Amino acid sequence: MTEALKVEYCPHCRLPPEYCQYGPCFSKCKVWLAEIHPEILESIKNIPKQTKKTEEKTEKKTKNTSNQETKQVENKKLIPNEEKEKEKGNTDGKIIISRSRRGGKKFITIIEGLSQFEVDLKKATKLFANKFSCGCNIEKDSDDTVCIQGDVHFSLPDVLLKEFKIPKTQIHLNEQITKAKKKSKKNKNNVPKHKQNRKKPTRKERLASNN
Amino acid sequence: MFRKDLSEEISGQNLAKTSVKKKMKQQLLNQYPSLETFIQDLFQKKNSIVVIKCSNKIQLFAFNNTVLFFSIRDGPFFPTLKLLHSYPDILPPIQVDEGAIRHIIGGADVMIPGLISKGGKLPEENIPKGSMIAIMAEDKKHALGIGVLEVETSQIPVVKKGVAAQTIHHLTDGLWNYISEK
Repeated sequence: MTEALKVEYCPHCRLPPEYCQYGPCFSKCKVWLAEIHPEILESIKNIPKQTKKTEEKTEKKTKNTSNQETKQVENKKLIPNEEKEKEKGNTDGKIIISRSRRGGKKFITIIEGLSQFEVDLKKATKLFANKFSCGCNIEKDSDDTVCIQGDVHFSLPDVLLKEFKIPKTQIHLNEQITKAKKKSKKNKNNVPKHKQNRKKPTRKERLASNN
Repeated sequence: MFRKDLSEEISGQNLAKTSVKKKMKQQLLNQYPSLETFIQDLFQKKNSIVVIKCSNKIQLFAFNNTVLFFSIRDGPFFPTLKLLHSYPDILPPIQVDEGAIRHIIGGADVMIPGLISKGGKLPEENIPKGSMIAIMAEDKKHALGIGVLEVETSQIPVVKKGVAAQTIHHLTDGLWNYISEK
């Protein structure tokens, strides 16, 4: 049997240094690589140049195609731009609607980014509660998220349009359903700590305290 | 397999019973005969062996707080990438070309064109369909993923298109992040 190899991992992205290039934070890794593994950096540097060129080419291509599109139809150009913004995940000027699951088939609809449209959140919560006839409140920790009890993500964009005149293009629907368990976990971690410290008195101790 | 963060998907963990340990040891020895002394070492009495159950019927096996193996639906034991990095001989390698690395790290399956092209390499012996393989890359020492073959390796140059192997576990996926955080 062969002995175990010792493999070094990058402290930033925790990948083997050869793969830093594909990791999430190559700019940080670069500094580290330059200090300890300059030879790997060099071997990597040779490669990305090519890829960069190809990327530039593809960018140019897309630009060309987009220009053609603008000549043809203006609307078409608008749509890809928006998609790009969505991909970036920027919240500027965007409203994000997502859902999280409570129990078996119960949902909570979460709206983020309402305050960018100068909406009074308190009034909005009342309005949502009225419209959907359900509970609605501003999330405790953050001042920009509103929770609506129940799954209302289909009718929400219409309501937002009517009441606050927010165009539908600014609303981004997050289809993934997140579990609401996270919160309960947090609570579990927070609450029992002081309880855990309070040890259950053993029988002897209880008797002693009674006496 | 491990698209999401694992820490959210874990449904429970418990110490392995001795009966489970015995079974595991037998299976592991059958599967990885080259690792015999290492496995004998793992199953010493003082070592704690924890079985972590996740959703999707995935089980992780942690020895002294490091996850070394995982299995899907009580199937064969897959090694984790860290184990594969330190014992690269335990799985037969297939090599993909430079361009495929990015996609596999993103979670894609191994496609046949990436194996036939200049940077790709296949082992000389035939490997049957459904067996585990280590996914290596051009000019890199270490494996970047673990997969299951969908096509016999002898058939790969003939077919020329489509999926060659399903990637089960790769760098930067949920399991990898879970292991390296520990």
